[in-house]
This record gives sequence, C-alpha cells and structure tokens, in this order.
Amino acid sequence: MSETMSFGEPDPDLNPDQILGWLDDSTLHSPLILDDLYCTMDDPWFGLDPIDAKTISSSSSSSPIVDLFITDQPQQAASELSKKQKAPEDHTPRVGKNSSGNKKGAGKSAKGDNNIGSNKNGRWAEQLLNPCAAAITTGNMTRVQHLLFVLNELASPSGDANYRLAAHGMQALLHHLHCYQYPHRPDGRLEKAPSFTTSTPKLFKQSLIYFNDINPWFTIPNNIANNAVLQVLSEQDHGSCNALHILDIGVSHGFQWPTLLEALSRRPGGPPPLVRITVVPPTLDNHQLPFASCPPGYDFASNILRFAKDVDINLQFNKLDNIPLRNLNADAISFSEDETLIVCAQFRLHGISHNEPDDRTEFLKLMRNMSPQGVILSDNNMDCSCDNCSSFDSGFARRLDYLWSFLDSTSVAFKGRDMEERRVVEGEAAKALISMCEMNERKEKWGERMNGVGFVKHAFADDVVDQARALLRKYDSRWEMRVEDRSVGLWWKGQPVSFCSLRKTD
Amino acid sequence: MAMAVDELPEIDFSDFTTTAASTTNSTTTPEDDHCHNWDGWFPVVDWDALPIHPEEKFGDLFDSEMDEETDKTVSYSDDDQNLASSDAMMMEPPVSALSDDCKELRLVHLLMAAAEAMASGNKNHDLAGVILVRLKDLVSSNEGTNMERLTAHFTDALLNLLEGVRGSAGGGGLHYKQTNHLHHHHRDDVLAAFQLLQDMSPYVKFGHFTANQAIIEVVTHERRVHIIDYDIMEGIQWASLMQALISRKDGPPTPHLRITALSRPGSGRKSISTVQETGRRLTAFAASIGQPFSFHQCKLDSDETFKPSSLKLVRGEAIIINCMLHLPHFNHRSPTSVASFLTGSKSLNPKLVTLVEEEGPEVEGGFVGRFMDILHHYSAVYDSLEAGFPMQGRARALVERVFLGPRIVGSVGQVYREEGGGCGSWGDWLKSDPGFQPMKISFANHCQAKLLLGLFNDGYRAEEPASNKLVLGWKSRRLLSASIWAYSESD
Repeated sequence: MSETMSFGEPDPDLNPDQILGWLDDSTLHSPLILDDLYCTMDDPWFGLDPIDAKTISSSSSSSPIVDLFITDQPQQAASELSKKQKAPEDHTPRVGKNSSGNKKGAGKSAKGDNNIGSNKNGRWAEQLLNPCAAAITTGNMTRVQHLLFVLNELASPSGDANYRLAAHGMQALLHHLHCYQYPHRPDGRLEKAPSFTTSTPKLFKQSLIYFNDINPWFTIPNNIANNAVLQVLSEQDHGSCNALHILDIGVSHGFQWPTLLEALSRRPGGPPPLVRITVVPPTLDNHQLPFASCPPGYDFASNILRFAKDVDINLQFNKLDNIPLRNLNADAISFSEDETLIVCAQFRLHGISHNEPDDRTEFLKLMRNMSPQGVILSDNNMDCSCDNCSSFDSGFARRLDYLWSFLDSTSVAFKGRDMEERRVVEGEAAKALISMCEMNERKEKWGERMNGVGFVKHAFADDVVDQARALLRKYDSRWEMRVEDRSVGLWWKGQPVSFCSLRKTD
Repeated sequence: MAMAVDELPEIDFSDFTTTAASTTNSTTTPEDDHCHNWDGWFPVVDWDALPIHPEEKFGDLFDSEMDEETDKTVSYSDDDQNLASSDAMMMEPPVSALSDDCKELRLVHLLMAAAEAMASGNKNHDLAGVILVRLKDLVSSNEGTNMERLTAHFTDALLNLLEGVRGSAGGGGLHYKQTNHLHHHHRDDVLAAFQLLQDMSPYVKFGHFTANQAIIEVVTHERRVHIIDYDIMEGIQWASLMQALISRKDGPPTPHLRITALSRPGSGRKSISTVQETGRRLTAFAASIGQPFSFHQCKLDSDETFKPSSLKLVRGEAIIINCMLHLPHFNHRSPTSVASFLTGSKSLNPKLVTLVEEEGPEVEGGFVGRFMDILHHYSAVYDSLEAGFPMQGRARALVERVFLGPRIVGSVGQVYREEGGGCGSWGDWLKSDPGFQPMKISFANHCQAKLLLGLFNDGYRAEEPASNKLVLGWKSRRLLSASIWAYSESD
C-alpha cells in the first residue's frame, strides 16, 4: 500500500516560532473578569494541550503527493500573523500562566488542516454537495448515490474546512433523504452529533469562551451591542436615574453581559440604580436554531449575580423559560414604566417564521408595543433558504455558503488544530443545514420590516464603531467591518456574514 | 472450437465477493472499511435505504471478473484457495449490497468523479486533486486486485493531466514525479514484457496473423512484393510472413520481398530496437530460410510527413501498406502522422492496405464517458491476462507496468486533449475515402484467428462485424480490430 496520507500535516504557512509567540499573547482582548467567572481550572487553556512545536516542524517530511499541491504562498499569511502580534496596546496578557502552559505535555495528535489537495482558496466540498442537492431535487437517484459515494470517501470531521463541510453537508443530505423516506421516523443519528445541547456544561463553556476568543463571529456583534446600550443611555434626556432593563434575545448565553456591567459600574455618574436582564431562551421545540440552546444544567444566573455584586451593580436577573417569542409583552417581562428598556435581539429573530402567517412582523409589532428606548438587532446577512423562498438545492447552497464561512474562519482561528471545542461549535453551526427555522433575510429586508412597524434606524456613535474596529484587529485580517447605511456589517473574505443595527421608536 | 458466450447473465452484485485473486494479499486497512466511525457521530450510510442498487451503473466492469471465478474453478481445481473462494461464491447467501468488499465500487465512483472534476474546467481542479490524493492512498500499482492496480494507473493518468493543466496555468513550483518512470523502462524489462505479453495473450499475434494472411492471399501470383511498414518495431510480423511465404506448398516460387520501414528521429528510445537493427535481423533471418529479401528505411522528418516520392519503387512490384497501431509499446502517434501516411500511400497505388488498431471508444461525447470507456477497456485487458495466468502475478505486473500503464496514461491524455472533437477510428477514416474499398476477410483467415484464440483462454473471441474486419474481443468487450482494404484510383 502506498504510504498513508495522514491528516496531520500542519499548516505550512506557520512556523513554530510564530505559533509559540501567538500562544504568549493568548488573551487577545478578553478581560480578566472572564477568568474569574468561568475558570474552574488553573490551567489557562482549560486543559487544552498546547501545540507541540516539535510535532509541527518534524512533520514537514511530506510524501511526494504533498509536494504536488503545496502552493507558493507561505510568506504572506506569515507576515500578517506577525503584524497582528505587534499591536501591543490592545491585549492584556495573562500574567504568568502561559509559560507553564506552553511547556506542558505533548500536543494532541495534530489532526489539523490538511492542505494537501486543496490550495488555500479552494472550495471543493460544495462542488459535490450542491450537485447532490440538485440531483435530489430532480430525483436523479443514480447521481445522488454516486455523489454520496464520493462524499463518503472524502468527508472527514477532522480535516480542514472543506473536509468538515463535506462531512456536515453529507449528513444533512442523508437526513433530508431519511426524512423523505421515513417522514414519521426521527433521524437517530442527529442526536449523536456534537452540539451545545449534547455537551457537558463545562465543555460548552470552554467552547464558547475559546471560540469567542479567536473568532469574532459573535464577539463583534456583542461588543457593538454592549456599547450601543451605553450609547442609548447616554443619549437619554432625563438623567441616569432610570432602571435599565435589557431584554436579551440572543445567543451569548450570558457571556456578553459582564463586560457591560463592568462598563456601567465605571460610568461617570455611577451605574443605574437597578439593572435588569431578562433572558428569553428558545422554547424546546425550537432547539434547532444554531447557537440558541445550551446544555441542560447550564445556568449562568448565579455567576452573573455574583459578578454584579463584585462590581457593585444592583442586578436583577430573570430567565423566561418556555415562553415563546410571540407571547412576549410588557407583562411577560414585568416591564414598568420608569424603566429604560433596551431590546437586544441577536441571531435569534431569523428563527421566527416569515411565511404565512407572518409571525415575524407580528413579533416586531409586539416589540414596538413595548416602546423600548432602543432595539439592537444583529443577524445573519444572507438570503433565506426556507421552502418558500427557494428550492431545496438553491436553499441548500445558501446554507452551505453560510457554513463554509463559519468553518473556514473557524479553521483559521483554530490554526488548523482539531479539538473538541472546535467540533462543538462547528456542530452547532452545522445545524443550519438541517434546521427548519433558518429563515434569514438580508439587512435591507429587516430594515423594511422594522420601518414598517414604527422603528427608525439610528446611527451608532463613532466611538462604538471605533471600538469595534479596534477589537476586530485582534482577529485574522481577512475579517472586515463595513459601515453602510448606519449599520455595521461583518465580512469574512469579502463575503457578508452578519449585520448589526440600532433602532429607536419613531 | 469453443466460442465464448457473448451475453453474460445478469449478475447480482450481492453474490460477488472479491477473493485473493491478486498478486499479493491486499491488506485491509482501516480505511478500506467503509464503516467509518468518526467519533461516533458520523453515521454509516444506509445504502440499502437508497432506492437504487449500488452497482447498477458499473455492472459491466465486474462481469468479467465474476466469470473468471468460474474459469478458475475449472482450470485450477487443485488449488484449494480458489476452490474455497468459488464455493463461497456459489453458496453464500446474498450479502447486503455493500459488504466490506465494496472497495472496487468505491474506486470506480472516485475515478469517475475525478474525471468529471477534470472535465468541467478550472474551478473543479481542487476537487480533482482531493479525490486523486484519496485514490493514491487507497491503491498501489503493484499490489491488490486488478481493479486496484488499474485504478492506480488511471489515478496517475489523471494526476498527469492535472499537473499539465496546473503547470500551464503557472501555479508556481509544482512538479510531479511520475512514479512509473513512464519513458524510462530498462530495455531488458521492455523485451521481457513484450515476450511475456505474446505468451500470455493473442493480442500481438492476432493483428499480425490477420494482416499476414491477407497479404499472402493477395500476392499469390506476384513476383515482387514491397511492403511499406508504418511502424516496424521489432519486425516480428515479417518473420512469420517470410516463413509463411517460404512454406507455401504448391504454387508459384517465392516472391522477392522488399520491406521499407518508416523511421523517425529519436524513436529508438522507446522501442526495443532501432529500425536498422530490425532490418539487420530480418535480413539475416531471410537469408537463413532462403527468402529473397531486401530492407530499406524511409526517414521521416520530425513533423512525420510521409513523402511517397522518397521511396524507391520497382516496376511490377505489388505494394502493400501495413499500418499496425496496436502494439503495446507503440507511441501514440499523432493523428496527423497516421493521416499523412495513409493519404500518401494512395499515390503508391497499393494492392492492399492492412490496418490494425485498438477498438475505439464505444461512446460518443465528453471526456467522462470516454474516460470510463477506457477504464472498461483496460479492465477487460487486465482480466484477460489474469484469466489465462492467474498465478503469474509478477509477470502480469511487469506487462502492466511497462506497457499497459503508460498506454493508459497516453490514452487518457489523448482523449482529454481531444475533448469535444471526436476521434473516430482509422477504419472509419479509410471507409470515408472512396479510393479505399473494403476487402473481404477470407474464411481461411477467420479460421486461423479462431485457431489462434484457441491456444488461449476461452474468454477470447473473434468476430467479423464487417466483411473486411476481424475483431478480437474479451468477453463482451472489443479489444482490437484488424481490417483490410484495396485501393483503386477514383476518377
């Protein structure tokens, strides 16, 4: 047998020195408070094994096949990396803990990115998945089976983004076929895929923390949202005597708020006398919405209450379990007149149906009826892939496009290393391929809806945008922020990923 | 003379088990096991749930392998291993459509997908690369079953194409080391392989004998015969012709035989001997059997344009045009070269034109279809060799490595370059020219062919699809066609 191809080939663009250097500047932006809140172990890496530099440099002995496909672009990415590290003002290094972490143990078996056969910009998985979806739509079962055969050979949950996309995509297609054949039988294998709900609370926390540390997918929208809350408060006519009530319809699972609480406590004039956070988790039947659910047993209430006490904030925390969004109103959230209500809706509203009946517009009206002082809306900036808006294959293509951005940026963020945390977030994102609740809309369409029920767009303050930009510099340079028409868009490799906007009532 | 059955019974893939009918034991690595178990979540595909039978498309590829099991039971009954496996084949209840031995099916799917990815233009080259890397991982050209070794060569062929495309697109720094050293076989290897091929298969002799018989029949009363040979190679065709001429019992005295061989600059590299050496050998042989003989060369330029005027002709000689395009170590000559030869030969007013070529693709159309057809073709060739000599794995491997592998690479390359344009056979080319008329294959010629095939495995057959054409086939697949033509000037 010819020599086995291992997926362990490291990213040839990075040399060991730079990797260790990155490990030194580990914290990037996250404040030490997160350590206090969520660290249960002394190891700063939560038990993650650091990269063994030896593993990387020694596996450069590659097979001739490797030679065939390694292209000549090593230098560019490497220089980008070193550029990033030379921006010292933006990160707070974790004191002391890192050096011990680096020397610990051998690296995990580096089932990292497999650059063989895919040059850096290649997207080959979709070239099998999309034709397969098209064949399903036309009923060409011979072709479906042929493509599934090939996918089965290539897909792997531990290769680079293409291999993972192939794996998740194939599972989604099989699921679709299963549902078609056995409409009343649930697909048992879906239960076993890694996701938030199937993880332990500890793994869930680790995954989310680590992911936000290295991929700005949620970090930037959260950062903008937090600063927008501060902006709304500062723009209020009547002083700062009102209680602040934040309605959290989001996916941050509590990680977003400590930063805000801390900023509130440092406000000139002190924090609001009362801060209320009401979290609306998804109802049980909506568990397919990516990133929305958490493991049973996960509860950040006590943590955040403790943190609030530490920073002298009078916090009232409330979680509205099992209240569907359509039942939200002032009563449900115990709204009182003298509160400053700010709704923070992030990556959840696209799960509300926009077909007959138009629950989505109805919900926006509900929100309007609560007369909030501000609504921060973030969501995926893409076209809908539901049955009404597209055929199976064009919808699937859109979902793949979304997942590709996620997997690709995540692959870059993890520097090709495979680990459980990575698989958990990727498994969560992959739900988008299967979920019935994925009904995205472009930001322009959201804008129309919002305007239609009586909201007006309000520009973000300059320093809100500036801070977000500064934060984004910590991440890979292929992330971009574009401010268009008063909303902030997040782009990856020239493709739109999400948008964030602020609105007030007219 | 037993004629092999043309139509095979429908074979249910579920009865098919691959046995160790290979040169060495193919080891089953974890990768072969299609029940991937990636951390528990990635499911085993329930192929049975899908509405079609998995091998439906590729049944042909496995038909001949299936039959070969039966042959082995008959011929090698003392071999326990074969008996056991054939018993297993016959008595085992049908297994589910994809047992662990479905590797060959997976290989075929992968090959087809790789060909498809190559055919659709630049944007799929990444996919092609990924598939080919996977294939390289799964097969080796030296070990495993026929299908596995074949796949290795086809993978190399596609990699060759990919490298060519990427190289020309300026993807810097790529180079592909052809592991087969396609052009640099040791001369002894080539000689050995050639002789082995002749022993193991009627492939070479079929063309020669058919052509020679036609020549003999047409020169019965000639006193001088002049044969112009497109590619004389080692000249073994003429040794047997001379013997046949000498041993004609009754009839006229042996004619004087003149052979003019076309020679090309730099062609000695691949053939076993140069044209001069061949000439010397033939001259010596003729002398030893008393055949009046003379040998000439016609040197072509590098563009291979045939100039008939450069030939030395003698009054009253019967001119024979001989065009053997099937020899295994035959370089793919450019179509222009062959066309130039056949066109030029018209001005010589030949008495007979003999043409032997590989049976062309049985499908029209794009690269993928023709690629799969080439795969079917060589699958049949491999099977034909194995059927006759299942135990001589190393011999077959040598022939595969020296001849068949490079031919595969060449054929695939040729089809890729011609994509969109078709290349019909040279027989069709001759047919479309009014000056060339088909000449009937004699009964004696047909019988001789059958006698020849009788020396080899039952699976071979000789067909006469047209009056002037004999085709060598293996099972349901046509391999070679030999056709004969007369020429008369029109108008």
